[in-house]
Amino acid sequence: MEYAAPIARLIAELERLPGVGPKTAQRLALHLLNRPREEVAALASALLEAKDRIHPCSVCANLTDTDPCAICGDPRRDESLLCVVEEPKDVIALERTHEFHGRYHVLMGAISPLSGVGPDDLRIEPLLARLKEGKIREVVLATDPDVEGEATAMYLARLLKPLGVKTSRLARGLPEGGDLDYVDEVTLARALEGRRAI
Amino acid sequence: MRIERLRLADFRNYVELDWRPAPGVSVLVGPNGAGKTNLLEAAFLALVGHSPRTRREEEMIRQGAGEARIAAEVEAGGHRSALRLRLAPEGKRIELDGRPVERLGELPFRFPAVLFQPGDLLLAQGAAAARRHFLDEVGREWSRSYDAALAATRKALAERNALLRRLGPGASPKSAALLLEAWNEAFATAAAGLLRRRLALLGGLVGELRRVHAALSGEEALSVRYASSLPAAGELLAAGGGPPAAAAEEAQQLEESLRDALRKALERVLPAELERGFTLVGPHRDDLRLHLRGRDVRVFGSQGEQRAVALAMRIAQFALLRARRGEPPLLLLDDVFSELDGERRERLLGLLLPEAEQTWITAAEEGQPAGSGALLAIAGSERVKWFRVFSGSIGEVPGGDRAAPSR
Ligand SMILES: Nc1ncnc2c1ncn2[C@@H]1O[C@H](COP(=O)(O)OP(=O)(O)OP(=O)(O)O)[C@@H](O)[C@H]1O
Ligand SMILES: [Mg+2]
Ligand SMILES: [Zn+2]
Repeated sequence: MEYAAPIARLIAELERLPGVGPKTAQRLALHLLNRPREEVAALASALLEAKDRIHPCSVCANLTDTDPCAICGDPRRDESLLCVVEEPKDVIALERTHEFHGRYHVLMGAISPLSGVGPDDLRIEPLLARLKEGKIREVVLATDPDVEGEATAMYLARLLKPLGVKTSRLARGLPEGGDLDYVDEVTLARALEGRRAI
Repeated sequence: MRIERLRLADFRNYVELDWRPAPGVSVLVGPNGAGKTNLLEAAFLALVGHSPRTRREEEMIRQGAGEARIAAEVEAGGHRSALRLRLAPEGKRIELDGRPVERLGELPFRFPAVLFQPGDLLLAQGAAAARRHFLDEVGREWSRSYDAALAATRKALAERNALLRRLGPGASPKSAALLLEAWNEAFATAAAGLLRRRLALLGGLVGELRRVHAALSGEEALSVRYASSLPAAGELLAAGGGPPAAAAEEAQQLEESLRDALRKALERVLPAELERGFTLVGPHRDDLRLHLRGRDVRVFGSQGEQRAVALAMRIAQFALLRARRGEPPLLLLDDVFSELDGERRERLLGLLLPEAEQTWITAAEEGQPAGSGALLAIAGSERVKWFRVFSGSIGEVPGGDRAAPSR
């Protein structure tokens, strides 16, 4: 026997989530159906509210419900220091260290010829525009410590060189091949202290 | 490294198996097609994370079954662990003590195993790739960070090759100068890390290889040289190079000079690379050259000489890991006796067994396999247990295999 159409549809939708296979989708669907209506309604409205109210910050592309985001809008932040990361989740990871007091710029990816991602597919133009305003003195390249992140940092370091702004790279000591947001806070804080010029 | 209990379900020709190998030597005897190699394959797969004989993993699922399972209770470095592997057409999943293993490449370091198999002849006979693969296999078991360096190099290589193909032969390197520089740098960084580790590995491996080859063959001196596609680094790597336990600072310096040499070499070959669409220098182009009496074993060696060199490479792997890790890896000898004469067989056993702990030996013979006399003498008869393998089941043969084969 097949599942009734509404259950089948729920399972199909859940299966589209990353990391969720058919079995997990089925388990989640049946679990949700067993919960009280208010609980399911809370989940549904949380999904919609997040989707409706969250958007990328027009300055740094971090995910936010205000524009500019809380970090870009905070006057106590050091506007001469800019940290470049691949994804919004990296901003959260670095913020958790409480070590960095500058602002961020999210590239939305890393250069990867294999996946067809070139410099033009990343938010590099907006980065150059921010630098032209002249307030930024140092750019910390905090792309992931894997080969794509490394190559992207190298690329940016070379691109920014003629602009006369200082660039530095998060020190190694990060696990090779790891995602930035998996790295624990202590390691990340140490990496921030030990960033090196490139 | 020791397996205390191995359970299989729907793996190859095993419907279900629950087997406790001997703490010392298990001799597995049975006719062709009984499942002896399958058993060794299952152990290797669970410990090291990949099959030693196929890349098409689906073929290991028993025909007619939906998925294969392996469970191994393991003791390594004084720790007990439970390994569980599930193999389905969608892929495989390995759990260590109930937690999924994210990086399979880390398994060989945790659970080192050395497998001798008839196909090893390719180590001496085959193209450079077979020997590079050997170095990387040993490297992963030898150092915790080797796998990450290897994975990063492979990734950087694939990315850089993709870039070269995208740019194509007509490309003016100027327009893509920044991109090329960035990927040269990323590749050089990763590759220097791998080269430096290979160099340190060779620092220990070359000596072992020469020693065991001399002991096995009786006389000739084998010469071993790491032939690098990187001419400048060739000197650094000459004769298997540096001290095995170089201080961290020296290692940094060495890695830096390797990176420099790679950068320069990459710039030099760029036009040819754009033409051909792949990277022409780096650890992926290197070889381990083996010479006997001044002649390349791969080209000029006799069958017997090539077999001795291949065996010596495996024995050296075993000896090096044993010394480095402080305990012997699991030793798996698949069908190695059938092609050796009595004297070579004794030498091989004499080099391995006194140093080994858990050892599994297969022999495709009825009754007492050739060499069992030597085996008992060298290993000590109380350390040896005999098992009979027959179409996917294993039975202990009490008191040696003089008894009639049982089903
Ligand atoms: N996926 C599978 N399902 C069922 N049987 C399989 C599967 N894969 C292999 N086999 C069977 O396993 C047998 C081979 O087992 P194995 O290679 O372990 O033999 P062996 O005991 O090592 O023999 P030999 O002495 O010839 O080396 C073959 O008969 C083959 O048909
Ligand atoms: Mg076999
Ligand atoms: Zn912002």
